[in-house]
Amino acid sequence: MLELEDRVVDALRAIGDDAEPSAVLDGLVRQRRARRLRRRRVAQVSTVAVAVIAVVAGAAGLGSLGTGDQASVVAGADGPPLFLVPAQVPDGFTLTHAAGDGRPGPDGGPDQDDGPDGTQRWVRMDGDGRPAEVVDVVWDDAGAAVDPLGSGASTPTTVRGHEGELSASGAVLAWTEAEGVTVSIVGTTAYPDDPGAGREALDLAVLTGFADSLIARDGGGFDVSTPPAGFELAGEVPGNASSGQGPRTLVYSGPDGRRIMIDVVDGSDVAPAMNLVWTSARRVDVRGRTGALSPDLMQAPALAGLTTLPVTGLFLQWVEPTGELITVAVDGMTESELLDLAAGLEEVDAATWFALQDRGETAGETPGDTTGGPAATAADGPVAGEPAPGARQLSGTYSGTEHYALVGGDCGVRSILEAEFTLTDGAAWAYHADYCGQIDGSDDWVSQTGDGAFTLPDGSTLTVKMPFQRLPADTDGAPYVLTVTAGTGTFAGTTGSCRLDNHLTDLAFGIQQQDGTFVCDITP
Amino acid sequence: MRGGDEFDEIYRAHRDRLFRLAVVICGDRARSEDAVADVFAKVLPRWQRGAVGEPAQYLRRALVNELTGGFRRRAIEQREAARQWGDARGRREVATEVSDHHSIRDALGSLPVDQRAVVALRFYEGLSEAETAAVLGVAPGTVKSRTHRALARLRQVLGEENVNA
Repeated sequence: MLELEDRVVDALRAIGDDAEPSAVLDGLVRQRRARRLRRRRVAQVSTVAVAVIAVVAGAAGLGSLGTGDQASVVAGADGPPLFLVPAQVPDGFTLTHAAGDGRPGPDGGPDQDDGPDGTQRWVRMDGDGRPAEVVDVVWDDAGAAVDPLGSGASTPTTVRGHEGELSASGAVLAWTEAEGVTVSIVGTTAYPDDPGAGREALDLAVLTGFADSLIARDGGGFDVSTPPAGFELAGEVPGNASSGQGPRTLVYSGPDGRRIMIDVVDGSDVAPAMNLVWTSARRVDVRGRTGALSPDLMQAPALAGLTTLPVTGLFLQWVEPTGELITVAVDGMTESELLDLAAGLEEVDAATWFALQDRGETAGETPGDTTGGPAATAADGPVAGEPAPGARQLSGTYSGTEHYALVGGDCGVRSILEAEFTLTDGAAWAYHADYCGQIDGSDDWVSQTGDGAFTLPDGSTLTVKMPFQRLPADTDGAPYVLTVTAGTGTFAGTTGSCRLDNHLTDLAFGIQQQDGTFVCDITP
Repeated sequence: MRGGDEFDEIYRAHRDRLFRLAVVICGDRARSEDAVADVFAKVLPRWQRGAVGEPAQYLRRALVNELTGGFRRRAIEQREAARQWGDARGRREVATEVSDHHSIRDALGSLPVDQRAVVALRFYEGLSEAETAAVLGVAPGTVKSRTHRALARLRQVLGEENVNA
C-alpha cells in the first residue's frame, strides 16, 4: 500500500473513532419508525384536526381561507369531480398539458414523513393587508430526543413551567411539555419575496405570549386562547398533510415564456392561508371565496401528469364551496391578469374534459369560448398537437448522459448533456447542452437554465435555449420545452420549439441518464 | 411478519458502525444521524416482510445510497461543500499547522461524494474492489478508477503531486 493510502487509513480511523452516535440518533430512529406507522392514520387524524380548527378559524375570522372550508364538505367525496377550464386565455396561448380524471388515487403530495404533527400559523397584517409578522406554533409528539433548535447555540429558559431553550437567533422558543410533546414557537418578520433577504426574529414577548396562552387539546395539538395583539389565525395543517387526490391539471404556454396552470384537487389538507407569509402576499376575493395571492406556495398541490410545478411566478389558491382546492398560477403575467383568469373559470362536464384530453380539441371549443390553439393530449409525454400553420413537426426518442459537477458561484451545479435524438424516420441528431443550476437554501429546489445545440449528420445545426426550470431536488425528471433560437445549413433561419418529456436515472455521483420522447415544431 | 424487538437488536448491533461510516463519508455528524435514521426507518418494513437477507450488508448499501444517491444529493453536497469543509485551498495553510489527520480530513472534503464513498469503503471498511463495487452497484473497474482519481485529488490538494505517483 502506498504511503498516502496508509495515511488515509489512519485518518479515516481517527475520524470514525471520534464519531460516537448520541442519544439524538436513537430518538430520530424512534421518531421516523413511529411516523411511518402514523402515516397509515393520516386520514382519521386529518379529519379530527380539520374539524377542530374550523371552530377556531371561524372565531378568528379567517375560516373561509383555511382548512375550515373543508370541515363542512369533505372535498370531492360524494359528488362528481369538478372540472374547471378558463373562459378565455390571452392570445397566443396554447394548451400544452391536460391530464387527470378526478378519480381517487394515491396521495400525490410530497412525503412529509419528517414533518411535525401539526403547525398552526398566525399572521399580523400591516396597514395594507400584507403579512408583516408570522408566528408558527409547531408541535410534535416524537419525544424529547428531537432538538427543534437544531445544532445551533441556545439559551436555557423556562417556558410554561418547563425547561426550554431560546435559539441563538431569538426566533425559536422550544420546550418539551410534560406529556413528551415537543413544542416550538417560531416568530419572524414576514418572508421577503427575495429569498436571499433575511428575516428578523420577533420580540421574545411575542413568543412567550403565544406560549403562555396555549391550551392543549384532548386529541393532541394546541389552541391559542389569547394571541398577542394584532395576530390572527391564518390556518393549520396536520402532520403528513395530504396535498390532495384526483388532480386535474391544465397548462397553457404563451409567447415570451408566459405560462398558466390551473389545478384542481380533492381532499387536500392544504390551507391556502398558510401562504400568507410573504410580504407581497394578500387575501383576495375569487369566485365568492377568499383566496390567497402569493409569490410562492408553502405546499404544492398534487398535479396530474406532472412531477413538478410547471409555473413558479405568482400563485392564487382557494377552496371551492364543494371542498376542492384550486391553484391557479402564472408566469410572466400580472396580478390582475391572474385574478381575471381565476374569476373566469368555468365548470365543464366530464365528457368535455376528457374530450379536451383525448381528441385534442382546442380548448376554445369547450363551452365558454375558451382558448384557441392546439390542445394537449397525454399526461406525461410531450404534447403532440397540430403544428402551427407552416410549421414542420418532427418527433422521436432520445437518450443521453448528463455529467454534472458542483462548481459554486454563479453556476452552482454545472451540467453537460450529450444525447442522441432518434427521429421517427431513423435520422439521428446529436445534441449537446450546457446548463447551470442553483440550489435554494432549503435544498428542496433546483433552478436551472442553459443552452444547447442539435447537430445533424449533414452538419446543419439547430441552436436552442433551455428555459428557466425549477425542479424539486429529488425529481426523477420533468417535461420541458426548448426554444429554437437559430439554425444553420438546412435549418438556416429556423425558429420553433421542442418539447421533451424527461426521465432521469441516477447512475453515480456526477452522472445521470436522460431519456424520453420529443416533439419539435419548427418553421419553416 | 418479524417483530420490532428483533429489529431493535439489529439496530443496536449496527448503529455505531453505520454512523461512523456515514461520518467518514460525509464528514457531518448531523447529516450522518439523519441518514442512519432514515436508513433504519426505510429498511424496517422490508426487513419485516423478510426481504432483507443479510442486514449488515443491506444496511451498509442502503446507507451509501442514502448518502450518495439521487438528485437531492446534489443539493446536499453543494451545501456541505460550502458549509462543512470550506474551501480546501484556503484551508491548507491552516491545516498544515495541525495534524496530518486534519490535513487529510480537510482534503477528503474536497472529494465528490462518490469518491469519498469509495475511499471510505476501501480504506475505512477495508473492502476489496469487488466488495466495494457490490455495495455501490458499479463495476469493479469503476471502483478502481474512482480510487485512482480520489487519491490523485488528495495528492493535489495536499500539495504532494510528486509524491507516490
